[in-house]
Amino acid sequence: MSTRTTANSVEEPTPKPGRLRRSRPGSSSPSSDGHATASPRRRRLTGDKLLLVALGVPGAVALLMFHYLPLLGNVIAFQDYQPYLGISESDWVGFSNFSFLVDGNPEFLNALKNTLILTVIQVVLVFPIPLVLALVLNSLAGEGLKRTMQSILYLPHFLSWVIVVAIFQQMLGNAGMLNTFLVQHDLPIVHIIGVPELFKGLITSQAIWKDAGWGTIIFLAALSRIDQEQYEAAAVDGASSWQRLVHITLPALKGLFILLLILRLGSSLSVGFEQIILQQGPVGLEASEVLDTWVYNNGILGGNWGMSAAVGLVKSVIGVLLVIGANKLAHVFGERGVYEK
Amino acid sequence: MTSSAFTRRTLIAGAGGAALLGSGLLSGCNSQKSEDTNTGAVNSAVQLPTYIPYTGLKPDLPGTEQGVDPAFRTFPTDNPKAVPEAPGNGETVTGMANIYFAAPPGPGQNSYWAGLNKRMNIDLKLQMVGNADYVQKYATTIAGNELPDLLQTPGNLAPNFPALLEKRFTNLTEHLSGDAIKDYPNLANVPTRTWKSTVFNGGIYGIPIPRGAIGSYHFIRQDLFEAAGLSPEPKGYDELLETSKALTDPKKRRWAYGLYNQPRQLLGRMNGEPNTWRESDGKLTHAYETEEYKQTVTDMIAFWNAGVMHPDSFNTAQPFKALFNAGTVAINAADGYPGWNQYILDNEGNPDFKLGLMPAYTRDGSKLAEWTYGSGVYSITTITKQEDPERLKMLLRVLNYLAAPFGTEEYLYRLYGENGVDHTTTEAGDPVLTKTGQANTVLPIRYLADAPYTIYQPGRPQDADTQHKYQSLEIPTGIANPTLGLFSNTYATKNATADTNFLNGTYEIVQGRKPFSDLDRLIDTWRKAAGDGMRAEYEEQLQQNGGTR
Amino acid sequence: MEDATRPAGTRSRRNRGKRPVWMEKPHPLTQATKAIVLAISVLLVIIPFWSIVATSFADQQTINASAGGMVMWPTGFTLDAYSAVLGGGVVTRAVIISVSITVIGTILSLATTAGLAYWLSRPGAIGAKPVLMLLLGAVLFAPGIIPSYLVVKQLNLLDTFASLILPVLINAFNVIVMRAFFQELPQELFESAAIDGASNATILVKIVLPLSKAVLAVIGLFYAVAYWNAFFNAMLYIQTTDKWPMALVLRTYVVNQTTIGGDQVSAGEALPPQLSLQMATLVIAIVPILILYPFLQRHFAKGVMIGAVKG
Repeated sequence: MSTRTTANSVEEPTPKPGRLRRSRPGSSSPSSDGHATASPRRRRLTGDKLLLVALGVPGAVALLMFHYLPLLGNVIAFQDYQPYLGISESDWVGFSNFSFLVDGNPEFLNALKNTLILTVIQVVLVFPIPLVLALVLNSLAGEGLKRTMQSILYLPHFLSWVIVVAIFQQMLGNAGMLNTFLVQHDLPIVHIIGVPELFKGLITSQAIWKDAGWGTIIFLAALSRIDQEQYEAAAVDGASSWQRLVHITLPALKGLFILLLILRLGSSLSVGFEQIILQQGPVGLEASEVLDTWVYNNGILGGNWGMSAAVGLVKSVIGVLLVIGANKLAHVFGERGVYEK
Repeated sequence: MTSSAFTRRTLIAGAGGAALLGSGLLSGCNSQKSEDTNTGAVNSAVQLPTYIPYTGLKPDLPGTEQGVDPAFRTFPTDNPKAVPEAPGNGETVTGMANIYFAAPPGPGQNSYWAGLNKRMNIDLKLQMVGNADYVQKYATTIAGNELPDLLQTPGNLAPNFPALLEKRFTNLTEHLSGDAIKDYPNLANVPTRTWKSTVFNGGIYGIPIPRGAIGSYHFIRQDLFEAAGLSPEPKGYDELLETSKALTDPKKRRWAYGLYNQPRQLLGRMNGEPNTWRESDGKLTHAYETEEYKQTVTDMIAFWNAGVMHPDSFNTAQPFKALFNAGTVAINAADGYPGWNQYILDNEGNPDFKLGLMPAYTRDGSKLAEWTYGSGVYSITTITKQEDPERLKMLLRVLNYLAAPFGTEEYLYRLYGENGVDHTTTEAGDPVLTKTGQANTVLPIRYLADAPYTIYQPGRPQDADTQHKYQSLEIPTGIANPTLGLFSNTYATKNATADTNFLNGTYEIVQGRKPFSDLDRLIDTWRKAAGDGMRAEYEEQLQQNGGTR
Repeated sequence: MEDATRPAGTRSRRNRGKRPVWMEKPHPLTQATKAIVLAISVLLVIIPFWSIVATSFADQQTINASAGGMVMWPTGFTLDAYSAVLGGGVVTRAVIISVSITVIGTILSLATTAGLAYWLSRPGAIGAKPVLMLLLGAVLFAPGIIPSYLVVKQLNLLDTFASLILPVLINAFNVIVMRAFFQELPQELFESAAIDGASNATILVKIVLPLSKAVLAVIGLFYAVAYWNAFFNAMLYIQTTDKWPMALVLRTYVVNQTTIGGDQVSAGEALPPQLSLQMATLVIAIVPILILYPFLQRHFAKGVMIGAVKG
């Protein structure tokens, strides 16, 4: 996002008659008349503050009604919930749905391990890729070329995972296009799909392929707001393109990047469900089970709604802790983060 | 990078919140547990509906009581009326069922649907849900308290299903049991063995959607067999393996089998595995626990190593039908038998395509292997509790109409719509759907009520003979699943997971990643997770029944 | 005016595609690396998509020849898949429904999101902090499908188009992002406007929104795509097939008939091969977005800070 250097810009603005007048730097609440008009102005200010709230009320109401009200339904994490009985008649079971946390259940621990590994890979490797891609795209000279490239790169985002998995299968499967080509030239086939050791790499590649392009959109929007004058001024000052990148571009994107990172951490234990469950069969559970698939295989399949709600709550709580921690860390570095103190 | 709240919501399904908004609750006492109400004793006391087969039309090849489906070579030219009076009086009837095709237009644009309403004299409002989403939709509908009149239950019964039935659905015993079914002659046409699956809590709680006892066929690409000079009836293990090898050529992208389950089913039958459970003296052993199953796994290892299976056979989303159509695989064993129609249609443009059926022989090839029957029921239709007994009778009459037997006037309309609009008739008398008919007639009323399956392939009278011959061959050798019609809550809650884990483990063994000895560990895990629980529940009901029903 | 002072993207046609005067010639190694990275990325996407389009035009023989899988060149070219999908009559109606929902939904979502984001972005605004925390909570905690269903039912929204818009009107993530963009606007703007006696509503409409075209375009795109592709809520809440949006209709083409052991009673006439049906479905779903994106993309390219403060 653009920096606020326009106040220090070299030129003096030519004030347009009547409209916006520049305030003196440093003054907080400019008042032209002093206290003579305090009363009506204060009233107007309060009314104006309420107007501000009113602008946001429709959104807030929608949020409360359609997100928070159903969220109360997560109380079934403490019940043996049966849909035909409803909340009122299902038995209360306290924390027994949470027993998986302390059970030492090997399948759960394996799922947890896989989830954590994938989370780290996704946050460290996958998350920055759209930024890098956006920088490369942004540096393209021609508008038409830029636009075409973008349109191509975001296409995979629209495919459902069912199709993405099918495509990878068709291209890289043991009888897919690549291997057929190899077989027909008497070369040994490469096993990519269905190999437990390569599973995490496969999942990660699929995630990158599907969403990296789409992820550039938000960074491109941020990049478009950077004042081109700064680049010119820096170049005139003798800065190389690398220095311009490091001192102008990256700082401009820093706030957004950190914001997105913090939000991503909030859902860090969700590493993909549909994508993984479609491909579990060939590689086995040990390599592929993550929290979401474990909940599906052990909870939802058997109608154990209470347990799946419990796992959801645990994941959300961990997400909350991560977000709070990351946000505080951002403050330490002088960044705004998601919310200020 | 956008919020994943949507994704999470679809995946980690939470639960009810009716209490928060105050209304729509079920009041009253706690419901009883299923084990108390759904006992073998009360269930065995239920008198199933009398079987009164329809005699208005004579099939070219008759069916048998044991389970061979009747067959027609051409569509009957004479179409008697099976339902003299319209079932309804202009009421609105609501229903929900799953659909396997693209949804048809509503009655406003769908002359077929409008015509159906007129004939039955009702206003049918049918909610259609894609089969992939049906289970979730079913659960939310149940939680929502506003049930349609006619509801199709998903194949895998919900946990505490008997308790659910008792609370929300009608006990139909007095209307259907024994001779009471005579009021609904088309429902009486449904074979007795399928009614077993509708008995819970000592009563009949639904209408079964009947399917043939044969369950599945071993489809083969007869043209590929003939091209390789192979007999379409390999007798015994060695011949089967040799045949499979002869059909395999990775360079030409050809394999014998496309999916793990296909050789598995073939070999399972060959080795004499039981039909899910084996019963002896009231004691049950699951197929997974048998020596025969161990033999099957050994055979699967051999088959996999021989390379006769498609390299992506362990992919659960493998498009095995497309592979069969393309000739990439030559054997589709364990494929649902109604697939015959679809395969013929899909391959109309391929003059070389020849569809055949392969019998299963015992390991030494000396005789036919025991066939394992299918469940015979696709789903059951339950009727929501009705306040007005007359309305209940009307709903039963509607279902009776929809179950009109093959070849009747109602059946002709139900499947093919209006002559000239939805279908045309060939010289031989076979109806052929028009483009309009194709789009409009996919209304999933066949999941509310249906006539028993009849073998018939439009334009190909020889197919009737082929299928009938095959069924006549295999059905007499068949064994049934002894737990058919019994409800186990452990099965409903734990089996899916335990089964998935077990199968995933066997995949590892077959592919050589784990040693064969791991199988014992898998069986143990399976027993603890679900097997022993299911066994106990089933055995108790069997005991009370005095043996299998 | 010199080119360099104009916002990027609005350089005169003569100079479009040329480097600005102050930019040095890029290092050939950098050029090459960028070119390779882009070329690989683009190829990785184009090849599968080419295959998707090709398969959607392929007939049964071509697919057979390709071992039942996707094809790279439709030797047997046919439009059957498209006519099957589009010819039903259901699709036309569903498209109209989807377009309406997308347009109305996006406008409403943008309006409420902008209002909410603006409120939360102003320092010292009443009640902003708790609501921001609520938003964050909405990103972190997701409700289950049954409670959501029950809420919609209690509000009598079942089987209405409102049920496809209202529950997803506000996406917390989008609000937080838009808020962040608003916060980056220079404070002097607000102060000047306040001196001038502008109310918050005026500031929002006359100053903030015109300067936020980029983020509005992006968030608008996010919402539009979400509305266009949404099938799950329709599956849950809509009970009459005539009200199905396009995404749900198309989903039935993609996932039905793929379940093993599912019922396989035939429709009575040969349908095009399932694979080409699925691919045709995909293409139909993507094309409208492809058409829409360039119009929005224009707004990313404009640097819109210049002129507002100076002028």
